[in-house]
Amino acid sequence: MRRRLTFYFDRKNCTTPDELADETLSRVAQKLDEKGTITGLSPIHYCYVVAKFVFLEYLRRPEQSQASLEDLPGMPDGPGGGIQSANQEKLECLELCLNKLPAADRELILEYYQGELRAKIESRARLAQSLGLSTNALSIRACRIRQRLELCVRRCCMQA
Amino acid sequence: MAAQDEQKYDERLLVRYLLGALSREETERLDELSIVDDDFAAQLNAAENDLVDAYVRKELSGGDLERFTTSYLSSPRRRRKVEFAETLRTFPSTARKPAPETQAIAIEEVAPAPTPASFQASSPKRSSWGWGPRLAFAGFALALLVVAGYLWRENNGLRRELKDAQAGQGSVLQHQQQLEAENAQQRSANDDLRKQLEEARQAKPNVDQLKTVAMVLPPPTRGAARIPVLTLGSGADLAILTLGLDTDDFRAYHAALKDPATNAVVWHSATLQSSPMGERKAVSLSFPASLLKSQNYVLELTGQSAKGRAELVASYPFRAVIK
Repeated sequence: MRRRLTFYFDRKNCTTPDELADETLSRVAQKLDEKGTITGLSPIHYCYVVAKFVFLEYLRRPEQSQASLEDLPGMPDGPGGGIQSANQEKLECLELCLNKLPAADRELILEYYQGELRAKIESRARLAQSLGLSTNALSIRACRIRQRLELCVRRCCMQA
Repeated sequence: MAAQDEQKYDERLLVRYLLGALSREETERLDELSIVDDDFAAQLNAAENDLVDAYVRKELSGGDLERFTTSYLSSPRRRRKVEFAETLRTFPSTARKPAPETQAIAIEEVAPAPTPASFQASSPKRSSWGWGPRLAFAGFALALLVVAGYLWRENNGLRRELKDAQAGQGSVLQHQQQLEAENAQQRSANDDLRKQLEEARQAKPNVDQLKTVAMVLPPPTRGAARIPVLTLGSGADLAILTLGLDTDDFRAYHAALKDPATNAVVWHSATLQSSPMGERKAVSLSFPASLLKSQNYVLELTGQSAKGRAELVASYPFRAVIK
């Protein structure tokens, strides 16, 4: 839930999505402490309603503003050009993190993101079949592995 | 693709949502789903990864590309996502290639090849070239030869595989055509036989004079049941049996007439198809009546599955009585 809320606030271009997600969950927890239960809505819907209010309050704060394009550093000029290209350090971290994965996950993630356009779709269908999974289940598994990898690479780069 | 395999939400809608291209109402609807709906959240996550990958592979264009650079990349988290995607994209190719420095070092460390004296004598001008460039050139030429040889071999192998695959496909097609022709023949024969049977019934001939005899064998039931009796005159030419089916689960069938005492196969059918028999389905077959003696028999009906495997459907016992 925290991750979903963070992504929600991030999509709204809030500068502090993690804090806002924590704020939302704190309010939901507080409500539960006070009332013991949430009535009228399912807990997950209640989280969304609180998140909306938190976002609206964020917009009204004078000291906070959504990030403007000019303020953000390193804006890209075009595809692959302005974005910082994968340097050796990141590649080494990626290799390190890949080696930490179980062999099956490693193979899955490398094979899942191979290929382009139509070839990629067909390759994923074949991979799903070979693993005995539906394409949706494969997609979810690949996303989870990718998330772990991203986090691992970020930590590795920060330590380096 | 199975029903449960289909994505619940339109991929294009998710991309437009991620790029901020939807109306306010639609955006709010999907905002809510992104938090409350597990399937949506998972699919959105996957769509975002695919969108980012498309960007780093330069597969985005037009409005999508513009929105990606102006809207999507406005967040540090999303920019980090793109950087990771770029790293992931380049990872497999760089991991396979050897580092350029090692190739150069290998070339320099090779001992200079001895030059034949005659060559030295006849081409004094070449002695102005250093050993380094010569060795580098030789190494490069050798590497090219090795790569060319490897590619030539791979190419030949692939051509062979392609030919084999085409030949295999050809024989499969041929077999399929053969089966279809047999099937058509069997159907036509069955139709003729049914007509004959109908005429014979209407004429109500004497059993002794009947050249063709026919019987319907119902699906076998559990428990003791009277074995159907097929009565034939001694001059009967053809026996037609119609086997009732409980269920019609197969594309094609085969029948084997067996002597239960010895389990020997007396006769084997060609490929058979089911046909309607009232509210049910049945398989009709015919064989020379001369094969039969006054004894018990069993007709084993097997179904051919889509994968080509034969599965026993039912066994139809009957008794032949020759008068």
